Amino acid sequence: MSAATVLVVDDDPDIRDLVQLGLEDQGYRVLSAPDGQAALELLGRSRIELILLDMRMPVMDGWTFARLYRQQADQRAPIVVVTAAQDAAQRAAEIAAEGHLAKPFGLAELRATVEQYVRR
Amino acid sequence: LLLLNAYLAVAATTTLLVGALTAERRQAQAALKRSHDQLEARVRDRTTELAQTNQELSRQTALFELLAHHASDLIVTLDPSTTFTYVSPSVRGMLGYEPEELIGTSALDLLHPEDRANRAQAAVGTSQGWTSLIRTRRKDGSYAWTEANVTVRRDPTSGAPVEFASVMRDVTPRVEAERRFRSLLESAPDAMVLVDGNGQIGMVNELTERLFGYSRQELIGRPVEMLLPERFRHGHVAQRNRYIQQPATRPMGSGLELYGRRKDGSEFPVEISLSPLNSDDGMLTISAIRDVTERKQAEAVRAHLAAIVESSGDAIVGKTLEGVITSWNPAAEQLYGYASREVIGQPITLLAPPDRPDELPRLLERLRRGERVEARETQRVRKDGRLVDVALSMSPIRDGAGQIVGIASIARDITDRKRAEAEQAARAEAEAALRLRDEFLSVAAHELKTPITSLRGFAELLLEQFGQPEGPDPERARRALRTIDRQSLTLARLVGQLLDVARIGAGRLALECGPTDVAGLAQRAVAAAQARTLTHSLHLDAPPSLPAQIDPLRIEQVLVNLLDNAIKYSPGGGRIDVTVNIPDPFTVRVTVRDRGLGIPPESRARIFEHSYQAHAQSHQSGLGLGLYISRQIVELHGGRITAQFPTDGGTRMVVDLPLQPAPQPTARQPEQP
Repeated sequence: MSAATVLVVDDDPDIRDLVQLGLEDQGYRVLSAPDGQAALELLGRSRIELILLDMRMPVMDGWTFARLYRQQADQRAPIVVVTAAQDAAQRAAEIAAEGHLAKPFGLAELRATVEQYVRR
Repeated sequence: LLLLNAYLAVAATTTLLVGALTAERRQAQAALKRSHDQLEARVRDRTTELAQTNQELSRQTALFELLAHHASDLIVTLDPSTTFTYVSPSVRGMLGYEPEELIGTSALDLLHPEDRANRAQAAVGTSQGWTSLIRTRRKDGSYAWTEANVTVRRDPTSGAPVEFASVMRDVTPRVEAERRFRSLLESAPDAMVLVDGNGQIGMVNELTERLFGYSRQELIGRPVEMLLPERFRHGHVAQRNRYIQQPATRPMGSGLELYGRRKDGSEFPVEISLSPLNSDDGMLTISAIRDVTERKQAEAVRAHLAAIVESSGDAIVGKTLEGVITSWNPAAEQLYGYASREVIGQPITLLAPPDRPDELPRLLERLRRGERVEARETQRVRKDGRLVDVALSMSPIRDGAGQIVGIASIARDITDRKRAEAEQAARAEAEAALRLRDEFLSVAAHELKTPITSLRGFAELLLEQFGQPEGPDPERARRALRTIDRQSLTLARLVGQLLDVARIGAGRLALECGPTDVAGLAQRAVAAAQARTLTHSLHLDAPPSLPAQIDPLRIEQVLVNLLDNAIKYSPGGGRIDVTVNIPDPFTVRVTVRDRGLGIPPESRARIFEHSYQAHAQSHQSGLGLGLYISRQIVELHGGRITAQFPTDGGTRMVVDLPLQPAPQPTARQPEQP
């Protein structure tokens, strides 16, 4: 059984690094994209089990990405909004995301959230 | 003649008596003698009587002749065919004829053709006489108005006229006076009614007929009360009689509402003036009657409008073309605090606020040209000196001929509305500021939380490395520590910016100026920036040294910000030029020119604002505070920072600083929280 794949979409390279290192330790495969546009391109090529999505990004923000992603019939991976906004839950509701993770988060929170949505 | 006949009859009788005497001579002779004596006596008597009669006749004839000859009136006799049989000598003076010229001619030939026709039609009938007014032709062809008093002598048995006698008087002056008087009446602008001492209408003009709807014939000889409404008639008789006692020219019923009554029973308001007129027929009264319906209606309309003005909630002020106040309604008293009697006659500029002395003269000039002013929002000064916000409408007042004769203005107190608008604007501003603050806080939170996430996460990863039995992987540990180092710098810079903004907001951003080599400072900043990028090449054009009196740390902060922006907003890399020079003896100029994205024209005006990000869509990072803080620092130095946009692309930021420290201005007041 191959490892579950998580896609992290964030414009901050350190955050992408952090998520990648923190989840690879736990046996996940991690893909990363700096904006919504790049994420959509990756989605066309790989099977993804979970999307960790930042909202405020250049080129294509989280809102636009979510809208376009939902329009693609074969994409069913849950979205977890990762945001520095005051009310992460509200951001998640705005795009009908399955979950949310507020910045700053610790590794334990990150791993618990991912585990909640990805069956291994 | 009669006496002569009687005498002949007596003579015949005498002859018969003489024949009879042959039979009875004696007896007869005595009788004859008696008879003869008697006859002689009678003849004597009759002769005397006849002489007396003759004498009387001569006397009467002479008297008639005397009267007829010397009367100033013309006396004529006519036979039944109206041929003159006698014409008195006064015809000479009256008509210019000799009596002999007319005797034997027809009287009708002397009449004016119109009167001749009337006369010919008039039946004499059984009349014993009449008086008529006729025009008689003078010898010179002109006509004399003549009053003819005609007597008819008729045959005692058949009753047929046998002779006409007429006394004629020249009444031309009287008739002409009457005609003049009548034409005067007709030309009067009012209905004129002549009333005699008994209250009967003697004469009216055509306007009277038109005004009351009666014909002249229906009015002449009738009581004047027929022209009054029923309810006034009784009282009028008494008043009329009093007027006769003390006649004078005066208006009638002063202070009373007078009404006339038309033939159809309708009433209308009138104004009447009375004049007494002494005439041959006694005291007459001339009434001049004017229909004032239109005037009353106009008065009613005026009163109605005046009531509207009086009760209006808006200040309505009338003034002359020169701006002298002529009317002032109660709402104006209320709004401006001046009583009407205080301001009538005063110039309207009394109400002009001192900060706009030219406004009213300019408005008056426009109104004199016939323009209107609609709902102009302005201010006026009340009597108590307070300013009042008003919406002012002004219009020229024109007379019947369209000439501008004055100015009317209507002012509405809009203080409450203005206050509400100001409150609304303040509220909107506060809400906008609140929204901006929320947005800034949200951006700030994002910007701060991201490095903190990295710091915490990499610290945790590092700790996990150390917790592993085989110990940390040196490569991973180094990578984590480098990230922690970089993110803590980012965090420090963000916190520094927030602190700067807080200091600026509080007006406590202080400079520590000292002698500084601007060229050297630029050199170090350029070298440091070059070390942060591989894709850009930075070039410095500066003199070996350029001393100025500045705060070196703050100006370095500005240069670092400008260089960071130049690198950040020319993502494709390329050349970045930095220059330091002295454009004039008092200024040191530093420029930073990139060849990057430039700034969209619609954003250029705002790039120095608090938390404004021209490229927020494509390069969302940072707080949008860099240029805002740089501008504050430059301006605190007494300098200026501007952005230029060369036509071949990119941005050139220009910082001008005084070589010598300027007296320090206070920091800009915060535009944002």
